[in-house]
Amino acid sequence: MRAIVAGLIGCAAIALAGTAPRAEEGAVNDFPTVARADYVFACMQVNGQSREALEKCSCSVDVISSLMAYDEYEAVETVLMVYKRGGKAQQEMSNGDLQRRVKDMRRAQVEGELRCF
Amino acid sequence: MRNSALASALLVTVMAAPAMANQDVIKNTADPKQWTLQTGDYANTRYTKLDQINRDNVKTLKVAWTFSTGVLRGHEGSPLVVGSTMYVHTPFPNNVFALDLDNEAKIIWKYEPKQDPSVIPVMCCDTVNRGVAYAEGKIFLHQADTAVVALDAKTGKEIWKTVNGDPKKGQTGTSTVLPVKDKIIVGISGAEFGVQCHITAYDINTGKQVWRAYSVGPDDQILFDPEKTMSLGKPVGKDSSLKTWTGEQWKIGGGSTWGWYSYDPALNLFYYGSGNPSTWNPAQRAGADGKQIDQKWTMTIFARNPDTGVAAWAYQMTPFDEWDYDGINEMPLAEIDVGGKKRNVLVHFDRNGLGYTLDRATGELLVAQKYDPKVNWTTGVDMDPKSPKYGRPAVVPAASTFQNGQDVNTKGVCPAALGSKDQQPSAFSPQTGLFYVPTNHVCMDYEPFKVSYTAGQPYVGATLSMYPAPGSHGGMGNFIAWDAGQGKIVWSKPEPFSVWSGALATAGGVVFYGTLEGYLKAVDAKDGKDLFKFKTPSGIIGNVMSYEHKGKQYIAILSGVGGWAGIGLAAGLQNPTDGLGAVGGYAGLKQYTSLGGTLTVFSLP
Repeated sequence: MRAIVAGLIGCAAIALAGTAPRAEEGAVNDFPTVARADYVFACMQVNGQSREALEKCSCSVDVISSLMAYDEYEAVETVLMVYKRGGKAQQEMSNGDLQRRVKDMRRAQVEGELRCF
Repeated sequence: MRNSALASALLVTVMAAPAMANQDVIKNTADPKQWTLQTGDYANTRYTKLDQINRDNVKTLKVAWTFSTGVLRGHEGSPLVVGSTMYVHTPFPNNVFALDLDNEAKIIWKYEPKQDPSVIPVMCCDTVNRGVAYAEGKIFLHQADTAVVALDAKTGKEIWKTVNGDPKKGQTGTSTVLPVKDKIIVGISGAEFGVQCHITAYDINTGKQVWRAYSVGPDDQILFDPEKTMSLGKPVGKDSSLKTWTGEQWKIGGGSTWGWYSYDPALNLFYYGSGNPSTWNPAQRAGADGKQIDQKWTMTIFARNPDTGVAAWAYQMTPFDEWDYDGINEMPLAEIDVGGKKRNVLVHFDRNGLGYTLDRATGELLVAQKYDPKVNWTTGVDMDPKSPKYGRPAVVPAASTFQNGQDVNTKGVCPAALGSKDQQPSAFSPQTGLFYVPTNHVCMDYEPFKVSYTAGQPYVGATLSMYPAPGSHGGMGNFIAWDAGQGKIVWSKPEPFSVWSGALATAGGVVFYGTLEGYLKAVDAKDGKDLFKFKTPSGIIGNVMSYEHKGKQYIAILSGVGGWAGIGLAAGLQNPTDGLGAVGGYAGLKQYTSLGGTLTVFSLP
């Protein structure tokens, strides 16, 4: 299981070392339902349209939302979305601060994997 | 041959009958129920006289209906409304839909141009399109492959089609067109590919080319009259462009014209800006003596006569560009108070971070001030008409990528190459007399390197990294209100991301804009106070517009940026090679993500 997760997040180039991410200041479990549903929808596309996948995917987004504020998740979502434009837009989204925030979100996501899958 | 062409063009100016503006455009844009030009009106104010939605009730705004364009990627521009028909365009492949507002926005017709997808890699900055224009029963579309098409607004049938450039040489189309009198004015993109860029007038009824004015080159190609074309109060003189280039570099000199155009019917002049000189490596563009040389008329505001294309005046904002500060942003026209006097001015928020106010009849420079306090490449513009450096920005040596040299990384330059503001247009409210400006709050490191020119290949020559303006609020954007008479920021709202959406000011005292996170926001025109926000399905880089139908005011915005973030895709994947980018592999997802480009229309309940 670990190996799979490590492979999955290889692109984010982070060391797992079994440490859970620290709960961010201001993580208030404030994700709107639409953001959770969007996550679960995508997650079920790759893990199957089954009741079991629904449980795991829901669990996983609940873990993420317990670890980071929605503002932060939304910012990462924006970076990933705009990054796909390429060109100068991509350059603007490539700065260290934004990329660090993307990695933080990926860490929370890995935590969701470990706890729920 | 060229000379005689110019001579006859000038002759026509003298002999032409008094100017008749395009009456249809004037009539349509005077009716606030419609929105028939991307810019709202000839003056580019992006102001609606509709006031049903106001600062008190805007908080109750609800989604009235939505429309999916079926196309991913960046959605710039806005829909048009003509009578009870709405026209919606898409990024490449540049489909156009006519929707029946009387009949639940049912599709009346759809136009799907056939374009060679090989144009996509020569588009520097996403496959965007900034929208169609309407005049005299025709919808005008400027496609990515530079084809310009006139469609019958009722049926969507092609009336004429012409080709404005060659994508194989890096020439592409992203801008809207401007219908003026019996012509339409069309610009071109491609300064990142070493194109000698131009602006061209076509006959509105036949598509036949009437004149073409290059941004750089000999007088007969740039349509400058050495004695009559003015710059900063003086005639430009002979070979004003050629003298400022080394050898024949002007032939691949750039100066693209992909922004917004405004028009003053009383003066019979239209206004637009030119982009950067190619390449981004200034060392390769130095003069024969190894020093800075102006590269006119890149980075310039032009005032031209639409009948002949001949320039009345020109003002170069950033001579010898070293940062990619294109001068193409919108050129709104307004009557405002400058130094205690009402003046008919042109206002321009340049990529270089300076907000300019000029007399639009003469090109006299009235105000040039930073509209982001973090701008640091210049200490300001010389405003003394007696100075030999009149009108020129003083460059800070530490920020000069030329003085620091090729292969040296010049750090901490503000603004970044996208400018303190890019094409996303500002709005002007005659109620407050203020401009509302979406801005970038981003700085950069810029390292120029040597590059060789090959037709149709990128001709860039600099490595850039960008980051939020240091020592500020940490975000990458601001939405500001600007007093163009004084050159001062009146209020400024920090935004986490650059604001790449065009603003709308309304007679209800509300200003609208969109954000990259996908919010449509409404703020109070007086003080910028938040009044309303709503999250649309994707990031917003389109422009807010308004129209009225059956007694109801609507606000409409296109959302759609690079693509769906799809964060959940990575969760619990059993096969690590799947995941992000695998969207096409899942039938259900394909349908879900094609909703990326969405028009959301709002009204009061």
